Amino acid sequence: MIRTERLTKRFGDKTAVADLDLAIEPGEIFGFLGPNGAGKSTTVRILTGLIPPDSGRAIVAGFDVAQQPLEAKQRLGYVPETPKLYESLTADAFLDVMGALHHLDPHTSRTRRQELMKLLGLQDAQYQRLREFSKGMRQKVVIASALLHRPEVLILDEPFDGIDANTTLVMKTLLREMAAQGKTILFSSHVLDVVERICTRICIIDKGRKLVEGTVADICRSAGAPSLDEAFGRLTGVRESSTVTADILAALARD
Amino acid sequence: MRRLFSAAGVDYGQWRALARAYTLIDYAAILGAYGHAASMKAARHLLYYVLTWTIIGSGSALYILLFSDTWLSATIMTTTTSMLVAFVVLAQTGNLIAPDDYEIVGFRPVTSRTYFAVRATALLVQTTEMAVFTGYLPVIAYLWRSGGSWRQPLAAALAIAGTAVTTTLGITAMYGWLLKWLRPAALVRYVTFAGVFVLLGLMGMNGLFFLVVMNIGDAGITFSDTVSLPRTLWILWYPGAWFASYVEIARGGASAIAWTAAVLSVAATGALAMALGDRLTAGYAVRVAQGFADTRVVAGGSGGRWSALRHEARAVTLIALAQFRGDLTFQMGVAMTFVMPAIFLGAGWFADTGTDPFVDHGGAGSIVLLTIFAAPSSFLQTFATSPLHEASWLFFTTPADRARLITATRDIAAVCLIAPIAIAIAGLMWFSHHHLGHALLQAGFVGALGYVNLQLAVLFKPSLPFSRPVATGKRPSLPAGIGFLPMMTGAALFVVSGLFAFRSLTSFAITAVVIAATIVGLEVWTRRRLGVVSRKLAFEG
Repeated sequence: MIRTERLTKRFGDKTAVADLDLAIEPGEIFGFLGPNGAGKSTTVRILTGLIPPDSGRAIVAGFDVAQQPLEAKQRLGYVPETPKLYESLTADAFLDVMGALHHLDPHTSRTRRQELMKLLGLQDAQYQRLREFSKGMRQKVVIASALLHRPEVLILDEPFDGIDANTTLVMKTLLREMAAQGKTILFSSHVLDVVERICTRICIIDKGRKLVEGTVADICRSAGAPSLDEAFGRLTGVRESSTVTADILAALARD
Repeated sequence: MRRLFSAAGVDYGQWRALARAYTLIDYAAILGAYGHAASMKAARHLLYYVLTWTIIGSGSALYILLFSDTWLSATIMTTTTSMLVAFVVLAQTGNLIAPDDYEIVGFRPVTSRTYFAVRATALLVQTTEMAVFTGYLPVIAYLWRSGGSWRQPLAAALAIAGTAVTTTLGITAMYGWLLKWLRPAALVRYVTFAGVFVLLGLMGMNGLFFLVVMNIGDAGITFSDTVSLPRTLWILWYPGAWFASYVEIARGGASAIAWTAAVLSVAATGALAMALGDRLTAGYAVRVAQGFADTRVVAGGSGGRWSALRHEARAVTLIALAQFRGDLTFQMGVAMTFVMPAIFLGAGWFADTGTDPFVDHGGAGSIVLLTIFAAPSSFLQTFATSPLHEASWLFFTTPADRARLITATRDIAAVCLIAPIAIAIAGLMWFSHHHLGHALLQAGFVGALGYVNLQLAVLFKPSLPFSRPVATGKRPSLPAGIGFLPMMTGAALFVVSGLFAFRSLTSFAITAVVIAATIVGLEVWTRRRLGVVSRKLAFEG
């Protein structure tokens, strides 16, 4: 499970996350939505232990990330948004490093990484350096690293960015299966279509605060909108897309 | 101005906008664009930068005051300037050959020559800045020598400026020429290592100066009596003397050879400028683009090796090995770390040849001890900083023990830095005084103190590997790391070795016990401190 209690983070005068309460149960794929700068990434970074909160608690798999970080991280798999990697490593060596950091024994690590690379179509490139990988291939390697230690909780930040359609399909099915096995999955994304299709529950945040939480139907109903797209626009104060488009075209037509 | 640029195939408007942007980027950190802390850090770095070049410039100034031959002292001054400029340009090779911003401006309507002119301008701004900091003391020295006359100082300033510009143009032209045959990545690799050798030469030159000063002083000879530049045609083979001839001419009564040298300097600058304005730059952008499109696959090592290593030690070793194979910044940093030990080993070799500290009882061999003076902290700094520091997220999001990651880094430094130095010292000393046992003890002593130095460096500045950003707006400078802590340790080593350790085998044994106890004590202290500090380390991505 994942839980945040009155989670707050400020950067100087700006409050990135304000009193955020979330509760995600095992078996859920929880969609985490918000416009740019809403506080999604900051929340994810707190949950994964990259930055500490100013106040409140972040709990992963029953462990407070600030108080019991090692216990929480043993149970956590994380796919960062556009992950930076040590590019001189090969895919195989990167996964070996991740296995070592998760304290897997070398034999188990080797077996699992070979299996994951085969499943994700990376076996032909496993001894190539990550520098030579496309964006999608890198993303696959990072996804493999998040699954290597069989985590209870998965936190995915734009996980399908750059990934081909076939792998995306595989990953969607995989996430559903993992959720069915009782894993907890937090899925942060800008792609509303994907979120709508695979998430069991959704939370929309803006300016660090939770606006709404529930199923797609709940959110559409509360926003009085026919679709998640429109509900998202109305809740986050974005102008009608047709109005914005007309204004841009008018601006381009001016001398 | 527009016509001049247009004639060279450069768009003046684009050049001005981009050159201004790059100059602002270079000074952004110190102007506070990245916040107060970054501004202070950049200011400290600038101060270090100014001090370093001033100290090197003071060497030239001393030559000017010591030598009566003006052309000779000016030639030393221009040689030093050209070597420093070469170092700066070589260190900035990546900016010229594989500029990061190509992906940003490469697809815009900027011509190849304009793009090249912008990069060359940015480089010239840096070399000019360096030439000013290196050159002001020599100019003052000429002012002093000539009794306040402005002619020689002005000529010296012109000589320094001319040397800086021509060296920059020369190396830049060489790049353009070499890019016809070499891939940009390969060229970056070669010239970066060439930069290390230039640096080594520069330091060796300064070291030689002090050795010469000491030896000539001992023999009761003065420079002005003995050393002068031969006024023959042979001198015209050396470009450093061409620009130095300005000072000779300013002194008055210059020979035809000096005038010829001056003409050659102007001709060389003009020829290089024309070469750059002609064919070399026309295809520059295309060749850089080829560098980006280079999809050559390089097989790297697999994981799975190093089966004896587990967990954090395994992770750090795999990353370090991969970075050493494939990351030029790290390769160069490691190579730089060995520059100082190599110099001290060389100096120790000259000073201590044939002396056995156990026989000579005392400080003999103490110069060799300096091989570990600054290397550990410099090595650890190389390990800690990386342009890929944002990839260190994996140390923060996994259950890795950060204290163990830090000590694993230290252990790699012990194996890859301290052990080779100790082995080199053992070999050198054995060859020098032919007593293997004493050589091994001496090497063990140096190695153990090196490890203490390493422990102290970790204790006072613990860092995760490849996790800290390279300073923003950083200028290329001499290897850092000669900080307060290693200097104090080095001084302590002198005292210990000179006063006590090598007096007898008994005193050596006592010293060894003290050092062993120190190592154990520091180990306990390190574990306790890292247990607390490592939890507070923040992700800097």
